[in-house]
Amino acid sequence: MSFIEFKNVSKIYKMGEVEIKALDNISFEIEKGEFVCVLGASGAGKTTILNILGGMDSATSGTIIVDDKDISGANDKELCEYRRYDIGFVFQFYNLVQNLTAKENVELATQIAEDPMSSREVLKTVGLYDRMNNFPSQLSGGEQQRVAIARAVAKNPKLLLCDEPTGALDYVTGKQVLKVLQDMCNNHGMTVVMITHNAALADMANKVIRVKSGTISDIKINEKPKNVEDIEY
Amino acid sequence: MFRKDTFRLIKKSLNRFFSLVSIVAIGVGFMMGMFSAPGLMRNSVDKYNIETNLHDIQLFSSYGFCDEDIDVIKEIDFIDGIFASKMQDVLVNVENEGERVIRLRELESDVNKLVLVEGRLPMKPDEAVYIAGEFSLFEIGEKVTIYLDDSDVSEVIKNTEFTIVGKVKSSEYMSLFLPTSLLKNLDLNYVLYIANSNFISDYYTTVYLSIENAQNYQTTTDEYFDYVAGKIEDLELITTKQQDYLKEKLLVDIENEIIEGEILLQEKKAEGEKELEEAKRQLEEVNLMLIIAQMEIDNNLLTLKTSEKKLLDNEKIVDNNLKQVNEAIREIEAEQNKSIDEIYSQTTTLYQTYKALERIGEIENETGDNLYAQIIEQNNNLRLIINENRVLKQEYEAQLAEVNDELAIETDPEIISNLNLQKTNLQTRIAVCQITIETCQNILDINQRIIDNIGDNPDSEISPTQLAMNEIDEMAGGSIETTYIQLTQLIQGKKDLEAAKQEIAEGKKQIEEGKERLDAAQKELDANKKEYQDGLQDYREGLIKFNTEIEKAENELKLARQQLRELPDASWMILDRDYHYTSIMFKNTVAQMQSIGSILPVLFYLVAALICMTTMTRLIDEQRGQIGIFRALGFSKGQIIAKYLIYAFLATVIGSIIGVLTGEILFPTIIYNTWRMMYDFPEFLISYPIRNVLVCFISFSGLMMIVSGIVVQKSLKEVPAQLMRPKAPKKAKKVFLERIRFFWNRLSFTSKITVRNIFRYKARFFMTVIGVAGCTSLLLLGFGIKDSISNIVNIQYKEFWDYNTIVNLENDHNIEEIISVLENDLDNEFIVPIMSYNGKIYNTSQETTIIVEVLDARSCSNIFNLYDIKTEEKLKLNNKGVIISEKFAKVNELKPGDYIIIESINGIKSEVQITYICKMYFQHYLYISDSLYQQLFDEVIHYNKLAITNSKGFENVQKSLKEVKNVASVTDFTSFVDQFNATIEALDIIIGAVVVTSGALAFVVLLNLTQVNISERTREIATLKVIGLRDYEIYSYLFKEILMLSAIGGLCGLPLGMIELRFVMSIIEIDMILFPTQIKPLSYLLAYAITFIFTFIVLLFTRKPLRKIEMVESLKSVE
Repeated sequence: MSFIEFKNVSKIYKMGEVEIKALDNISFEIEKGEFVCVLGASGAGKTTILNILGGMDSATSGTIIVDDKDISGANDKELCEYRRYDIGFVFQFYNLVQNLTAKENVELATQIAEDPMSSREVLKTVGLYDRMNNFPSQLSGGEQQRVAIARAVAKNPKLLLCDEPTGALDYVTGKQVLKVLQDMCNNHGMTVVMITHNAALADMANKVIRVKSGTISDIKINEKPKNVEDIEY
Repeated sequence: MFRKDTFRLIKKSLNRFFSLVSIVAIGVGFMMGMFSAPGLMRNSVDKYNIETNLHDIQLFSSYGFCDEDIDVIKEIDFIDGIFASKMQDVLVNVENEGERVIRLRELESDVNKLVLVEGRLPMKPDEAVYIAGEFSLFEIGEKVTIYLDDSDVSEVIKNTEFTIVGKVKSSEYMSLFLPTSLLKNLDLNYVLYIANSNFISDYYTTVYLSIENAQNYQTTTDEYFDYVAGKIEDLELITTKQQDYLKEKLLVDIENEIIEGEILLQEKKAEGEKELEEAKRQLEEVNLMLIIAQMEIDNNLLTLKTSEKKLLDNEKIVDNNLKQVNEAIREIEAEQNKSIDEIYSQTTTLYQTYKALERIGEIENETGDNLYAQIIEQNNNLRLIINENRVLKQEYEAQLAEVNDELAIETDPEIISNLNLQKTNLQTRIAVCQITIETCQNILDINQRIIDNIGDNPDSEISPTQLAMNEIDEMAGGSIETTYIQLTQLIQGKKDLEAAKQEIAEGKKQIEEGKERLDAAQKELDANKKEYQDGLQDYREGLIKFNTEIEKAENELKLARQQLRELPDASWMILDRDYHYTSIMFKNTVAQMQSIGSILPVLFYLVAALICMTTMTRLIDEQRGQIGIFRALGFSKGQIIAKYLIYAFLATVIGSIIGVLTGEILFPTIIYNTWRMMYDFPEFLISYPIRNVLVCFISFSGLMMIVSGIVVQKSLKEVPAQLMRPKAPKKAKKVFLERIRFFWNRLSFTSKITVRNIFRYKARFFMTVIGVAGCTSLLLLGFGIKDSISNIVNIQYKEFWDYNTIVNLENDHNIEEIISVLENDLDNEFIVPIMSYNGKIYNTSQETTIIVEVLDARSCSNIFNLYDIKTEEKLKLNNKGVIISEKFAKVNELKPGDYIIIESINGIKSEVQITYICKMYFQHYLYISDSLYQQLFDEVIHYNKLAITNSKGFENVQKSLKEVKNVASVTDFTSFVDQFNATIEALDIIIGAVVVTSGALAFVVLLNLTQVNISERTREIATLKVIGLRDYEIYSYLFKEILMLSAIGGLCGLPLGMIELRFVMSIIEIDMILFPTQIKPLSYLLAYAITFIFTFIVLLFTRKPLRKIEMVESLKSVE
């Protein structure tokens, strides 16, 4: 049994008579500790997968099993618990609480987790120990994203989901952030699923899932994932 | 396309649009309603007054009015309608209620026409229709019997029993609190209308007039009163002379009556005296007779007593003699051992024998025979006599037997008496024979003894007869004659004595009888004497009674003469509607509503406006991006502004329409119907005064559009590109509170966020706080108004005026008597005489009339508690100056130390200084000590009322003064208090409506603010959801902030409310009433609590929208 299993999952939006199939009967598996890249063009359905995987949305049909737990039929409350304890999410636009300092943003997460890491430790991990008392408005984009990662990671989730984490960042900063993610995966054994439309980044992943028009077009396994510093794009 | 966008905008934010509309609706509705209410009320009543021809002027006179008076008034050209009424207040007994006072009025009248409400109008003189006062207990079909306490009601009203056939309303008695009655100073309970023919008194009680063209002016307005005042002046001038007419007439009539009375009195007096004299004379005669009778009886008694004494004396003598005689007889009997009768009979025989012998002796002496031969001869003679007598005796005895036989059978009384006579004769003869026989026999025996003796002595010289006689003397123990005479005397004596004794006994008996007769006579006499005494007593009583009555009648006549001299002034009281009970009450009511109606809506308006402003600001903020897009596309600024103006306009229009339609109906109707508790209002006429509608609409929409315009302008200042980018989030910085490490570390996470949020989004903070504060302040205002007003009565009638009973006096002639009667009842704690009058002040500009109360300075604090308006110390009345009440001072801008010119009760003016100004809520008062009054005016003070504190209530005082003269009335404050409380009750409901509306506004405000709050933070909330915060954690994250804002807003609202209250209370002015500003602690709590309750309710409603926030949607990237 894989760590994460998607089995015949479909997501259909009904607007009156129109039916939009965001996901059409997709299936894949992800092992524990893998760094997975989900590639695809805009509107392909990558975010939908992530949303369902992250418990923010529910599939119309199919089974989703995460760590031997079937979340496909979970209700709102159960999904909330799932998100709370098992998931760490990183958004493209950071979505930090502006009114809280970096440390406090992380503490938002640590306060509710069962077995969290120390917020300081985490911030140290992402290299922002000195900036922990700054507000997001005082941090650069990259720093903010790193805080977001710290927030996501501090919960000690089973799964770290990232939706285009470098989308709003420049090349150097982006690489920095990716490095953090890779370290989380390699050094802390976290399972990371990252959405990106930048194909070059696929090389850093263990597994690459290509999504096209709501279906899985390809699943590739990298024997030897590259280090982020070595990737040029 | 652009327009489509506008409408879509509305559709998308339907909640927001809707809350805008409702705020406008509430604001406009309330504004409209409250503005219009007074006018609508006045309109409805005005129309009713005109329809029913409510009188403009009412006339009263101490003497009433006569037909001549009415004729004069009729002539006046500006008098449109006139009705002279003989109204009469009477008593009825209502089942389970007791005695009630009702007014009887004429059914048919040109002025003050009636409107039938139920049943039908009377068709017969003994039918009636009624208007109810505060309590409506009559029913159609009920029979009512009227009466009066001190006179016969049928002298003034023809029928005394009426059947109620219907119920009516009258604009004259629109107020449900009827005025005081003319009878007993009690309030009227009902008014009954009966056929005019029932009123049979000679004079009219009052006259109602309606004036030409008065209906061109609206009731209770200044213009109306000015117009009427002018006409009253004219009326006064025209009727001056006529006003004295009736008094003159009555004066003459009364004078005549008095004179008649005096004459009658004299006649009666003379008559009475004559009768009494006669009675007296008769009594004296009787007395004399009684005296004489008594004297007679006394005399007779005396005579009787004297006789009795004599008799008793005789009796003593007789008894004594009898005793002696009996003793002598007993001696003799004892001597001879025989009964006296025997002895006497023997002695008698012997004596007779002696006497016979004596005779024989005499004969013998003539013959000279020898003794023996004499004796033998004598014996032979004797024997012959004896035989003769024996034969005779036998003959007589045989005849006697015959006669006895005949007697036995004879019946004829004459013959019987003859026979008896014969019998007696015979018996006598027989007796004589017997005696002769015995005598002879005795002599024979004696002779025999002599013979025997002679044997011894034959030649004795003594004749045998002498011998026999000597023998007999010997036998008698001396002398037979003496013995015989003695015995005879003795026996006769005894007989005589016994006879005498018998007589005495007779005499005694007679005396006894005489005594009895005298006793009886005395008893009769005593009875007669008693009768006489009774008669005398009656006479005396009669005399006293007569004298008393004469005196009483004389006094009454004297009093009547005096009263005649003191007859009141004849001038008519010409009163406009300011003296008409219902009109005054209504005028005040309308004024009240106007005051409230002019302030409250403005406050509402401000709050509503504020909220609208916030909403529009938020809306436009959110629309930044849109605006940027349209700008980028090339739309002009004007077009963009137009979009939002249309939005605002639409919201306002719809809200205004709803507000106007509902508000105009809802609030005035509530108010009108509330006041129905105090008035029997006519139908409510709803109208939509264009002016009000326009004012409300323009003010609201104007504000909205201006605000929207301003905010859009601000946005448009930025370049399109900037607009399209998300608004740069405000920089966050450390809040100063953070520096207080100790405090900061103790706060929970969410609390820290809350605090930061508050400080960060200052605009939002202030908006919310102000909005909430506004609503809380309105709530507090509502409660505060009620607190202030409702407590007035308690303070005024219990604190300031610490007495509970008022005795109004007609004059002070017997005031000491009254006071001493009152002092006897220990429950009367304080009794303070006061002279009270309406006085004019001559140097003030605004108010010039004041009620002056003159009393002893020392007793002032017994019944009044006067507090200084500034220091709140208790004030003392002294001789340095006067104390005046607050409102009077305020209106005339007077302060302690100022001088005012006051007048005495007789109109003498004098300047005096104001020492203090006291708190007073009702009317204008001036308190002056009696010594100061006398000092200033040098007048005698005639007290006309007594203020009394009776611990058991005024009824006891009323009872104890029931029979006392010169007491006009005894009342307490109950009727005032009841009336005021009823006004309060009505106000209560209206305040309730205000509170509810404030509450509604508060609710909508909070809802609105919360919605806006949330819509601004959708992204944030979505993020938190993603992070895994549970629902309730998200609630508390947000709600803490809202609650805190609400708490702060509420706290700010309280002092704000106090300020508003002060402002409003100074505006709510009613004639002569000063409302204090008072808020009970409970009200603060309530206002605050209600705000919180609403907050909670709003939060409850907000949970769903929160739950509904889609993470996926909300986190979609902006670009």
